[in-house]
Amino acid sequence: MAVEVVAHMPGTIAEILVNVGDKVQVDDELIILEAMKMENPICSAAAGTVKEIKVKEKDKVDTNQVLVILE
Amino acid sequence: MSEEEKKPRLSRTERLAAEREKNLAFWQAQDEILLKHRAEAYNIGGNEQVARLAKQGKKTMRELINMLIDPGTELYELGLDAGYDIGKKKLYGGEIYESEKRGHIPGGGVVTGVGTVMGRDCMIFANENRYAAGTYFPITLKKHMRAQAIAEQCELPCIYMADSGGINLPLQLGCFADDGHFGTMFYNMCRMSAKGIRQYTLSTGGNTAGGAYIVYLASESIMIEKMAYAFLAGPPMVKSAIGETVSPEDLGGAYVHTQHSGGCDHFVRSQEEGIAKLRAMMEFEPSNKLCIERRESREPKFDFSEMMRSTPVDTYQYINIKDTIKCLADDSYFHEYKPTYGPGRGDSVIAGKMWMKGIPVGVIASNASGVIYIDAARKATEWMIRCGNSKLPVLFLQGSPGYMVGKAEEWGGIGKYGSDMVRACTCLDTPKITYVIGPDHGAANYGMCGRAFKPRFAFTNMRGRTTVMSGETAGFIVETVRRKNIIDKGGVVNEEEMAQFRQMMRDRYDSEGHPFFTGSLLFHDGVVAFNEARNKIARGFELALRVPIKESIWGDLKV
Repeated sequence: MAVEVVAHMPGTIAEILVNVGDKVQVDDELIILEAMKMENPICSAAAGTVKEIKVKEKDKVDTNQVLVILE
Repeated sequence: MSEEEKKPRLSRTERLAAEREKNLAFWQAQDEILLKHRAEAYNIGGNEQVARLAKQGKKTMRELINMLIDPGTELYELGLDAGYDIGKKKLYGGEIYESEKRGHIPGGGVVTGVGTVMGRDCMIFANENRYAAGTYFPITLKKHMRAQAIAEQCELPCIYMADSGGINLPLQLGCFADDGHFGTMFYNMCRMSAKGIRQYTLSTGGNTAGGAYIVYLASESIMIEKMAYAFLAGPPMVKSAIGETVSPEDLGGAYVHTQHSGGCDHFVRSQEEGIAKLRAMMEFEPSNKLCIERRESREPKFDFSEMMRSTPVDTYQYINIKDTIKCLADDSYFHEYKPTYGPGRGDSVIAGKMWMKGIPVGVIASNASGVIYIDAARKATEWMIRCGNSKLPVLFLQGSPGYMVGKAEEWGGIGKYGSDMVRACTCLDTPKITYVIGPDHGAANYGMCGRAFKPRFAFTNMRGRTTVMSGETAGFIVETVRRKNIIDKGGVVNEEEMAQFRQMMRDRYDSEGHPFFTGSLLFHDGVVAFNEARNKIARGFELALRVPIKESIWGDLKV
């Protein structure tokens, strides 16, 4: 089952910490989203494998935009 | 970065664990810097000034304070960070400080703090006579007024140890005529004594012109033979005005005012005798009250080093504030309000209560990014109202960069709910203490009880950064405006200049927000090290609770 990881606030992708194919656990940091002057870690809500990364560094994203798809 | 060069990825838990020791080492080093910073104020003027005072038979003010306060107690010092590199601050007369070669006044020219004398808490003021003859600079007056305001709020008797040349004349513009200047010192003495807050003065040096009023306006005052002088005009001015030749001792010495003019009440022969007299007078003061039910103090289960380990090095990184709270709270016990409300949005402010050294204390604390969303603002407002209604003092742990921006939040009413938070924090009429532990920007400074919202005490640690916004954002905004202006006028943007400008803004904000910079200007009452935080805050509440807690009246909330 695919799980979508979304941005919980609008901002800029500062850093992508995973690669496609990586195995991740619950609460692993996947992406650092820069917003409101803060570096906000976007964490995995489920265990799985990174299937797709939908953004690249410096991309601007909106609330609820899908960033990563896990499988 | 190529795939091979990428760092091995750690889980969040692993990364935080790996950073703990790094954090500890970093904050230990930062607090070392803080101690070195303080030493400059402690030793202002060096041995040379100590020797100069000794020649006049005088001890330093810090020695006198130690003789005055009860053995085994410490001065609860306030505003120690004032005056550092004040000339470079270009505020309150920076240029004149520089041109007079008085651009660096560690400690700000007066020592202020709460001491315990014969078991009674009192506010102590001592002119720093190792620097510029104890004269008052604008920053000295600001510090003086702040300590008097605290004394008035907490109804603490005041002890003035006076040895000052009065207003520093080249800087008179920032010292004399305005509200909050020299006259306010005397206004405050009169008002406080009218409220039954006793004012005691030990004159241990010159008190010329206006400065003499610090002797005359006291509830009771003491002068030291052949050391203390008080006159409206000193011998040279008397000579020039009326041609009279007179020695300082015969013009306004201790015997003149205690035997003839009656301007002073007690004659003593040495500083030691003066201190003993002050202590004797303090013994008549009512004993300390505590206007709250206090239970037995219990140590936290985690000490300050755990607080250091769990505090990220970077001011702009997530902090789990409950790790800080557990190091401050008795038994590390925290009762959280609405812990499950609005996950990810409601928990950027944590609300609750705890005991600190047996005193019940409400808590409003920035958490994670600290960015205040509608949910967090509403929760904070609700909790402040509950604390006010149950007459609970409140600790604000401020680490918020601001309220959440954007269309969704604006439409949802972030402005409205943010303003409710600001109003609640304003009208919350129980003792408040603010401790800045992270970013402190924008309206979050207001809602989290910044200086303008009159917390009884405002402290910061070395991680705090207080500016209207981050340097990054400020650079971006001003750059955008400049670009538009240039283009509107048909010009071409010079990218190199623009990049330099951006960097300049970033550097400027970074330096202006630093605790030493804000402390120099007295935007807070002191930088508090991690290992001092629990004592400093708990003692602050103790002092603030010397007076009964008032009813909070909330005003026109929008809700």
